Amino acid sequence: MFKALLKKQLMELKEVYTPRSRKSKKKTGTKGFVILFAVLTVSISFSFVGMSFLFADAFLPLELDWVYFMMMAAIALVVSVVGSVFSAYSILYSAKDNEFLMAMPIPPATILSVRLIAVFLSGFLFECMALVPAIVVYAIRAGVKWYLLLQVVDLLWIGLLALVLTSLLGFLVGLVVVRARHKSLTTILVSLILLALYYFIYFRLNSFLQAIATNAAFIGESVSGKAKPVMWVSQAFTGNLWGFLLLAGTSVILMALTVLLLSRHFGKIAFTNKGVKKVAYVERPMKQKGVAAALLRREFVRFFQTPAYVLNCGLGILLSLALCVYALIRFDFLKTGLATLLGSLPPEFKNLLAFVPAVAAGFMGSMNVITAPSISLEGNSLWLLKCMPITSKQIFNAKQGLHLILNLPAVIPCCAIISALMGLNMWEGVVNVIYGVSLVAYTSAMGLYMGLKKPLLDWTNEAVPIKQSASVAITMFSAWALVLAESVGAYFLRNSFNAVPFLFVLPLALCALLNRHLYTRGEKEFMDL
Amino acid sequence: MLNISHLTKIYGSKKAVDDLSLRIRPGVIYGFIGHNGAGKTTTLKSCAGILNFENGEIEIAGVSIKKDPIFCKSQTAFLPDNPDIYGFMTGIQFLNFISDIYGIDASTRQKRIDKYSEMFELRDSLAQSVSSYSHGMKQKLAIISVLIREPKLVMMDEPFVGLDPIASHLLKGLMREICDKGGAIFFSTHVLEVAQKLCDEVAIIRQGKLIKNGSMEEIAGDAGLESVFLEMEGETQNV
Repeated sequence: MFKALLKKQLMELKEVYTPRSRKSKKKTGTKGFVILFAVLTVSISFSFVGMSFLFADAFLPLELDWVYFMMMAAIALVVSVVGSVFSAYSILYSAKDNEFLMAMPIPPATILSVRLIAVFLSGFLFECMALVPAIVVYAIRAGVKWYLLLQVVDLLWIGLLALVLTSLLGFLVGLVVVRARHKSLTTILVSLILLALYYFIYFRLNSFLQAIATNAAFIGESVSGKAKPVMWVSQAFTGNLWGFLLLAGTSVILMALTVLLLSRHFGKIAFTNKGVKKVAYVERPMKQKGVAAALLRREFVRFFQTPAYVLNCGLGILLSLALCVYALIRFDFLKTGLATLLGSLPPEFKNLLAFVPAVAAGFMGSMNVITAPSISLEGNSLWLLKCMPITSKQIFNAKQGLHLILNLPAVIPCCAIISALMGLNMWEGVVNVIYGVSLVAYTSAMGLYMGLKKPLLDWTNEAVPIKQSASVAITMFSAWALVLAESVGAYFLRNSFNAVPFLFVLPLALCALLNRHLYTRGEKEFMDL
Repeated sequence: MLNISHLTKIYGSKKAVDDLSLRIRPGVIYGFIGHNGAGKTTTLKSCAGILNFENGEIEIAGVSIKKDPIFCKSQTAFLPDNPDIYGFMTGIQFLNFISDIYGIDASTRQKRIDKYSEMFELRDSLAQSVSSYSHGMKQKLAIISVLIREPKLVMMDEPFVGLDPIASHLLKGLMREICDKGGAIFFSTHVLEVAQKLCDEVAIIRQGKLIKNGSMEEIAGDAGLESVFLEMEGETQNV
């Protein structure tokens, strides 16, 4: 039974990353996506290499190897929890096949265990991004030891501990949401609180890490004196077999207890609507809208009624606006700071500085890939659009309209304010705003194009096309790659040609090409879905 | 009203519909009968403009669906067997959305929504999210969304599945009402008793091919539709 369920879960996961063309039923672009994913994973891992060296140089000379691993494992644990917590609730409780599976003679614990494996896999990936560099750096500084094998197996135990925390947080979100009257709003608020907490810790991380590095000996003494179990567990990484067994046992027991707790409340969270009260229908005067306005409104309603959509594709908008407000409040302070920082840069970078605001806003804006999961989200209700007397062009316009309406009011002021902070002149500010707008337009068209090419319509959980689909990942990375390529190109051309005022041309040209495809062949492709 | 000629639809190497020709006149309730996988849904979806087809022609009110799909879709309404409608909307939001798409003015839509939501006892639930609706409620909402448009041709795939007896009875009456006003109904069903009582004309399809079609009297005769259908199925299987 467990094997069959696991097979189903893995098939679902496989289908997400290797969507089939509906027409030919052939898999498309698997290799490219795997390569892209591997490149991204390795790139993120590199950011933990510096941190590992900082700790290794602080702890290893004092023979506090176990403290080094304690710190790195703790960081990996946090990264893993933060990386997977936002999807935990929807994966565990909001799957479409809940009723179907619960009607079968399958214990809730089995259903949950299989879903936990899906949460584990995403968390494990994040954990490895942080902990594998730590193991590699340790091998570089201390040499390859016999217990390298134990360190590799310990990845699994730390992954299980992260899964315990993630699933408990998902469970808490579930308990709150099940009692909430406005489920979408509550889910968004709870997630935002968790995110705010994460950023609070993140912005203090640097000074925290420095403090740890300078107080290495004190930390080692304190933990070994007052929290011996933590020391033993950390020694699982440094060849202590008893520590290894303790870590393994603790992880497995905590996981078992968590499965027990979650399975006892599974039905209550997955099927109860305590907070949903019957809303009486009150007749109000109706207004007629045009087709374009009706389709746009439909996109807006879907966006704001789907918490995973808001949190994953709209959070950058909120952050950009928050950044604008913060920059306006602390304008003078930031301007002085930036002037000092920019003054210390080598002269060859000076003429590229005018491009920085748009790059910053562009990176932030490219995180909001609202169009990319939009076609997949139509799911089983796609038939409605296809039998209406409307053209694919009108549907695409509405989808791109939502993207532009939500993104532009965040990206334009962001580019303008950063330009002002950097002391750029009016012309340079305008160039930046145009570049920011061109990137938003490119992301919009690319997202829709990829959504059309790699649709995922048979999902059982709406978080899947939003968080895990190839169309979202490819769109986001393509925007980053575009910004990076243009920055590098402008740098190499700096002596012969100032390319900065013309950088908007490439995103706009690509946007035009993509839209040309969408509004010609794309219309038929949409109807063929 | 609906003219299907030599329709062929292929999935991979399998012919789901094979050279099917049918003609549905205004004022007629036309039943479409066949076993599971016979090609009924594929035919209905092709007529609704949801599926493209390889060969043949479908004309609605004399206009080819391939040449002017927008006009054809504005004349028709399709109701699938399992209407997956937008769970992120409330019932009234969904009906307003449909009304906007079909250009129904404010006062007309108000009257029609009132009339049909009262009729199907869904009015009190219109402010609720569609995701909280039962299967039957979703089916009723989808039916109301069809009725408020007053289409000339209604195509329905197993329309009585999931409906309570009262709603079923109401729907049958409304189907006749649409035809009396000059519209046409084309629907698939497995319930042969309903088909025999309700339909003016009927077509039987097997493995994508039309086996028999004509008026109910011609097809069912004295033996009844069920006997004829089972006899034909037996004959086809023996061949």
